[in-house]
Amino acid sequence: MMTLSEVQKIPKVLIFGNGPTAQETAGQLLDLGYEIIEINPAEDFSQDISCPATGSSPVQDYMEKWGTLANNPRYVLFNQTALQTIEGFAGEFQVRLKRDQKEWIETVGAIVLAPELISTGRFEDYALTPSNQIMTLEELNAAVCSSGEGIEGKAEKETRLKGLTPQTYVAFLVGLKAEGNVLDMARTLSLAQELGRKYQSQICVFCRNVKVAEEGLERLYQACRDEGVLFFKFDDEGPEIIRSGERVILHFTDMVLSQPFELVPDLLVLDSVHSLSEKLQGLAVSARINTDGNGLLQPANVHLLPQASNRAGIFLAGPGKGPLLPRTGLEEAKAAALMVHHFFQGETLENQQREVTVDKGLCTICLTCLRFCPHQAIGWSHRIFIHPLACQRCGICASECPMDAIQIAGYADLEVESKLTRFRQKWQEVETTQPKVVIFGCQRSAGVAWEEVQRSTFNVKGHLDFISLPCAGKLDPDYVLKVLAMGADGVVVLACPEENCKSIYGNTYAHGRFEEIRDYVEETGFDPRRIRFEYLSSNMVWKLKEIMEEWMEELGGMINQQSAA
Amino acid sequence: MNLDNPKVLILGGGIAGLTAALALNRLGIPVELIEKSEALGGMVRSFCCKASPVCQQCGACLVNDALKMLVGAHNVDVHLQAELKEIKMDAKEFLYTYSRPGGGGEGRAAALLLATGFTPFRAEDKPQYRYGLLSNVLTGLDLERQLRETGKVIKPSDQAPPQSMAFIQCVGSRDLHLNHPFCSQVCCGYALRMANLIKHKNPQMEITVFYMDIQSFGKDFPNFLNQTRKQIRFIRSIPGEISAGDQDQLIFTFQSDDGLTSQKLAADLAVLSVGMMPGLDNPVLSKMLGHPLNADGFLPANPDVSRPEGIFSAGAVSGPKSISRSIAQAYQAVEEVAAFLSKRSSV
Repeated sequence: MMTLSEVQKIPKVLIFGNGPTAQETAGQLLDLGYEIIEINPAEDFSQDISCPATGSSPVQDYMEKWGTLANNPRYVLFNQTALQTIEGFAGEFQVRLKRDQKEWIETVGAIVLAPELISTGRFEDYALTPSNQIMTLEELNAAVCSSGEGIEGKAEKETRLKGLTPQTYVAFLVGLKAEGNVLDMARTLSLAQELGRKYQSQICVFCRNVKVAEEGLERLYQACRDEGVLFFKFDDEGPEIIRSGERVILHFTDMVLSQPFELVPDLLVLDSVHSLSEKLQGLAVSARINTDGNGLLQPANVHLLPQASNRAGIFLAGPGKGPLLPRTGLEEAKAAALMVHHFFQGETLENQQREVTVDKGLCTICLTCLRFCPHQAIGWSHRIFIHPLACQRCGICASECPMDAIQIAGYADLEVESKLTRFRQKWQEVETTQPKVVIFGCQRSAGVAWEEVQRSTFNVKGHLDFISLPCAGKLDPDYVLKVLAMGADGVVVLACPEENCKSIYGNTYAHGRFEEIRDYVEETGFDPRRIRFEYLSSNMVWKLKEIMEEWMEELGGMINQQSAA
Repeated sequence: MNLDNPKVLILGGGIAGLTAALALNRLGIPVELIEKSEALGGMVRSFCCKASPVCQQCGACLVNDALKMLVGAHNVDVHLQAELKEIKMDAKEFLYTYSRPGGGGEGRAAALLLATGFTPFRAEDKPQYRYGLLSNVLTGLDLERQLRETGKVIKPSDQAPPQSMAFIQCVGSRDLHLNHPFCSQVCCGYALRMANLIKHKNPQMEITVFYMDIQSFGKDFPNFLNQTRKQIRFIRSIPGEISAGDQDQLIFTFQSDDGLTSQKLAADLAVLSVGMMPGLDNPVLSKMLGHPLNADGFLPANPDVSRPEGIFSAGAVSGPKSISRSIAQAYQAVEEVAAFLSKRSSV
């Protein structure tokens, strides 16, 4: 197996995206001295960035500075280029790019995916069809803001806006068909204010919740109200929409006045569904970059904060993770640039220094490890190899390996077994009749809680010993059986709560294995109450104490019953 | 001072300051961290895990990760119970003195990172809710601590578990009477997550949330809110008063939808979702550093008026922020510091 010092880190970064987040990331990484290849899937960079409330001014400044980047010899930009595949490992990825009919491969050390989202108007949800008097928030934004050149139908939309007068009505339908988000609300508020000031039209906003959880938005909301914008809030899908020839009629009951109302807007503005492009969704699947329940980048897992993916060397920034204000995208761009900088220049983290070995004599190249690795750190040719930069030392592969061919220094089977032997010697020395329990726990959650338990007042009758695992996913079924065979009264496995595993699936793998062990233990005649599996986070000291106090009592009772029998 | 390896001074050892310290340490940039209280970890240290049983992405556990990693961080010099006394800027660096028990110290730093956090809204300042007078009126922070320490909810009046409880959102936030025209950004998150946690532990508990607008948080929020709505009752109204009722209950008085009649709801326990207010030291820091405060009293990360070069900020010092945003901002700030130091050394 390669060691850390033998692997390459090519100081070149691929940035994928077509908006301000991608460009800001590129600029920051150039300043930090890296070579940059930027891949823009579109013809041009996203211009949908202006309007005051969404934090456009720094973005616009940035766009102006943009020209200077192109002159940097360390920077290459490919427009209208597709990112086809990502092969290889952190430090030395091979990315296949395609432009027109030409395909080629570039080699880069790290990748930042910073895509914009594709916004599709919710016309179908509202049973409406696009027209000059019905448009999406994005279309209106482009029509209102000077930077919206090149947007399809901009001229017609602008003409439509010019027809607005103080006698006309503008209605926004936002966050009604599905719970809204702060980006759509920020746009709505700033556009409502803009249209109100410019045309003195009566503006009505229909929504479920006014999303103001960003700096300055509550002020903007209050300003809109002061300037006469009306807000109608609903707990359901909002007003009934009736199409009558060219006209759209909104029927609703006003909550305050309890009276039915009818509004015929001269301009109707709808929100959109925001999603990742199909192409990028496909890439995420093929490169095994995990997404969330909506197919957006980065699964819901706090250990990936701020910009990590499940794969070392691949970072995620900006709206591709979910709709956000452009200024938040810029924050994320800098955070991502720092994570890239850490990857190349940062001190190697302690766990990354542990040696991982594959015993060539034992390995049958069954590829179990490759299928189970959540970090895509394993490859094979004539033998299995584990990439030392991509590997996070979680140990899932080691416990899944049917041949026990994979070992991690500090957590190798022999090391665990020698700890168990020491526990047995200790129990023999004290000749105890009280319950003897071994805890297997993830070092980052249960390990931290265990340390705190030991520092606190904690009185249990019995002997408790803790074996730290790099991740609960390192739990080997053999360990549990060996502990029972050694004469322990109980074994408990502690894993991080679901969706809170640093190695994504380590806790659920551990749970699955534990269920198998339980069946086996029952078959062999042990009382299944003697083994337990619990989810525990580092700040759940109370739960660890509670489990131990109650269970030790129960185990003590079982021992007494046995000795009485 | 060693210009090849300049030091960064961080004020505040909460989640933002710790994250920034570790991120700088990883780049080999030495850090001196001054923390006012007796321990590192800040407010997040007293927050509970809200997994019920699936993680709800609050991020409270991340402070433990940070504290654990700090043990191995060789370039971070921490001073607890310490306070900045004086700071001066010359062309190249900050010269500062600080006090701490058993004598203070002094130092020089090339950059200053503000991570002094926030002050929770004083629930007593909304006297109509009788916090401190009625023992079963808690703040969101009180509930966090209860759950963190014991995993249970109890009524302080008799230490018994409540059968019903109600959260009031926006206590101190989005309040024009108090001149707080800002959203605290975290209260919907902590209240709904704790409500789900309590409901998970006690399926019989009746939980109500009084609110104006529910703010989005975390990944896949629409799905989260749909699930939450199935087990929590939402009332779009902010109660005007909490008073004592019969049988140790609390009475919440609120306006009906029509805005004309008032309604009452009885519950065993009240939780005031207090917001994030500017740190108490912000005015002093502002003066000491020549760093303008914004209209709400925070020290903004990107002030309209310029602040002295070499000052950066992370976390709630610049405005209300969740744990995840504080972490992202700490990374952002460290990236800016790294760029600033490398530019400076190349001049």
